[in-house]
Amino acid sequence: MEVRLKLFPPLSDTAGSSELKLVLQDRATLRILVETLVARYGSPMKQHLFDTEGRIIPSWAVFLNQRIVPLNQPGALETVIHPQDEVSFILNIAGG
Amino acid sequence: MPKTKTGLGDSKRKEKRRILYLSLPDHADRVCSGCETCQLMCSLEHAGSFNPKKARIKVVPLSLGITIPITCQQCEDPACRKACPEKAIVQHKKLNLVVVDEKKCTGCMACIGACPFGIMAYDPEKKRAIKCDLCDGKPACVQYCPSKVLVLAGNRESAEIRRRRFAAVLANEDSSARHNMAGAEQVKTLPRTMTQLAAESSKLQLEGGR
Amino acid sequence: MARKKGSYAGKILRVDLSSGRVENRELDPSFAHTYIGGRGFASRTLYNEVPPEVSPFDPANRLIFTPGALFGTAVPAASRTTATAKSPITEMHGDGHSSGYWGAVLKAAGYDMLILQGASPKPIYLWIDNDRVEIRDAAALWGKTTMETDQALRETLGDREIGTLVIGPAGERKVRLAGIFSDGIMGTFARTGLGAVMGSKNLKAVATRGTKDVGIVDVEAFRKAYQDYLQVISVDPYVAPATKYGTCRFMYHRVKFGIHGAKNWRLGDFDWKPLDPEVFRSDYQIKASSCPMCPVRCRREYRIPSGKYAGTVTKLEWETIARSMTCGVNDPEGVIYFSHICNQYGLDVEGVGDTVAFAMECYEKSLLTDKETEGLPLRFGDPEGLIEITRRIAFREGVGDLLAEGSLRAARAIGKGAEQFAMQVKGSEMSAGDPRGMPVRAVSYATSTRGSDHLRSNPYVEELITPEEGLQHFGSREAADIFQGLKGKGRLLAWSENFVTIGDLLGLCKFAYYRSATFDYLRKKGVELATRFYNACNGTKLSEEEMLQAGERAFNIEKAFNAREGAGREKDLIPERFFKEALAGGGPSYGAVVDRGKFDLILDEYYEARGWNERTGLQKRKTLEKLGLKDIAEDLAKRGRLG
Repeated sequence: MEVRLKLFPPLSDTAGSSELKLVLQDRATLRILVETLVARYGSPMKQHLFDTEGRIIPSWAVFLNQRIVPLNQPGALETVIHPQDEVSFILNIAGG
Repeated sequence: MPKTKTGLGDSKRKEKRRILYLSLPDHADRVCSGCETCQLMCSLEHAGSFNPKKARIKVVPLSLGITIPITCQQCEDPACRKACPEKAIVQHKKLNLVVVDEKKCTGCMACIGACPFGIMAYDPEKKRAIKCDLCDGKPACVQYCPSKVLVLAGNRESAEIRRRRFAAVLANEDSSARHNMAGAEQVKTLPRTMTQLAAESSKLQLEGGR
Repeated sequence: MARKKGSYAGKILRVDLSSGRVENRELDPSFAHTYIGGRGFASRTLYNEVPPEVSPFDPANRLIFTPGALFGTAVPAASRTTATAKSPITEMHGDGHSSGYWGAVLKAAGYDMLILQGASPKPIYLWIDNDRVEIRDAAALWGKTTMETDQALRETLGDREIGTLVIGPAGERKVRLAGIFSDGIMGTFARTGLGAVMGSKNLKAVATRGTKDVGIVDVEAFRKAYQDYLQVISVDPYVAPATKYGTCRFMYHRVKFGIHGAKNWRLGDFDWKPLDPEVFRSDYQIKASSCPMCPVRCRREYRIPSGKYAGTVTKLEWETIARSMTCGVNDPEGVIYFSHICNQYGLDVEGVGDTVAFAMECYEKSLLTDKETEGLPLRFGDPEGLIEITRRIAFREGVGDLLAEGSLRAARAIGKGAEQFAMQVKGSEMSAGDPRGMPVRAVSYATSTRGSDHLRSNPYVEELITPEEGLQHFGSREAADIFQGLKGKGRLLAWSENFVTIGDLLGLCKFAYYRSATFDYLRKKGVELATRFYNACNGTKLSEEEMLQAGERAFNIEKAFNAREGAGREKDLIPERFFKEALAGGGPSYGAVVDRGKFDLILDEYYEARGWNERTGLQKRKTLEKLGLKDIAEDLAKRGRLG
């Protein structure tokens, strides 16, 4: 299925674009989407998303069709993505 | 001196001239940020404490958002040495380095008035002239600059820096060229005063430094 | 003079502006190692010297300046200074923190703290030149903007390398939203109206020259900690966007949660695209700048190249953008110009932004009309209205005189229910993002000791911990659940307040040490490296627990000050709007409110974690004694303000 992905910095810098279309298997989860990104863009992408222990950095949040899914919430990565879903990875910089 | 087509043959000859240089930024985020870490790490290296007055490199705030570090140019014909009445400033025989003999210096400040770059400094505690000595070849300022804008440059490296800086001046002054400089971010974001200053100091070096 | 050991200058300077008396005293080493510096020194001194009988504009109010303990050294990003006084906006403890050079210059002049008391009958400035201290006539400076005053001082005193603190026309007129500016507009002690206190003392500026060393004991330990710090910030994902965008980056955070606080804190979504960080970066910024000694490079100066405000060059940070949206304004050049006039006139952009938004809502609801505004329309979204009313506030002209009192006092004067539109906590205007949907954030605004403030704690910790970390550090996995969690949140808040206070003792920047993408990196920077730097510079062996306790101590002193002023649990509250009105306008938090029940439960757990009485919010004796504050416990007991 096709999934529209919006990226904010620094992910968009690494990917070279802020809008991507990804083809994933049906009923793919956010976890699979993240793994696909890392597979495609390599260690710079991995360094943004994962800490040195290999855990996904929890302060990332994903918008799934404008609904927010903070990745530090239990089960977040197992969220299923549907065809034509819009997924945004938004910058985990808190402050101000 | 063996003449070669590319000039690479003389890389075996020991380069005499090494000075600290402000490198031309290759992108807009690699300009001097104004953090002044260089000043305090210089003072730590030489005086064992933190005191910007004891730094031999100075960051000059030109206007809001524009800061330029000024470093000793280790002139080949130093104005500081010529001005010193005590013959306390000498040129190192082998290295291109100008040093102050603190035992002979009386703190008269003639050198401070003479340096065309205004980078001769004065230690308020010892009451002596102090200057950059390139830290035995590993300058603390170069090592600790977070923006990596300081370079210990040999002859050719410093010539390349000066050439690119002068090119930026020309590009900035040529208004038709500016329209074609969309990709040259460093020229767009370098305000006029920064390139003007680069031009001034290049001029000074031609006149006074050699 | 012999080289100093350690990062302390060794003396405390006190100047009485009524009598002209100057006094300097040795800094007691045990005072130094107990209160560390910055907020620790100042809050203790304020408690000791300013009882409830003294009002903020009374000459007996103190105005205290304390550079952080590590300011003056090359510790990365250790360049913060604290200013403290009884606040004219909260009538309780007030403080502000600023970047700039002045604090390091004070240390180089030989002082760790400057205490100002009394008031001059006519405008003066203070000139501290190493050991020489002079009170000088400021008639020629009075009326000048902040930048003009700073420049005039450098010329008059014949030294471009001095440090300066100045007030602008707003401070001169005791505008309660006035700040104190360091080294031109390099930094601002913005919040709690300290500029008005300085103005009430007729003190236009403090100029300082210092040539002495700031020392260091263990250079090797310092270098090692430095390398370790650089290593952490090279991998912490928090840092690269900070360098790239400056504080503009927080726009993405507000978008993420839909918490802009737009239109006087009614809308969670807003047309923010014209203020996208990319716009500021590509169209207006001069370069990525640094505060002294900082490798993160997240401060910004901006230039407007063309258009109505062409030629404006000024410093601008996130809260200006945020509070412009609170006024409904999303024109980037209007926002930059708004920052410019706040900077030049010496105003707290946050307090002004919220006060103007309050005025705009009053105007919308006809509680303020063209009669009061003398024909100036105060409409949400109008940058020119925002700019003009700000100017009138600075000069106390027309309705500006009313608004110069801050939104709460203005609301009380207007009456007719205007108070519900004054978005303030303990009198001080709202900061940061909307708390609806995120109960810890809501409580954090309420418990700050200086009124609404996200910098008093790190309410974002709940966004970056894992459930396991929540369990390990705060007793419950729920602590990591941003929207639904309850247990552990109070403990998280108490810990994060103590944690962040460390930065204010040492003079460390929040963005460099107290914000991060992971909890591990956060503690590595803000506790471990902070403590290692302090010990390296001073040859001490403070443990991390002792450093956290020093943070807890300073926080409790401020709490005691407020308790003594009569504030208890009833003042630890946020505006009714957040409880009663659902967040409007769309966005991810659309429809959210702050659930009062949850708010109270988190506050209960917070008081318990703090060792304070849950019902009254007042401190228990044994908590104060554990922190070495027995005398404060006695004082509060005498006044019936112990929990």
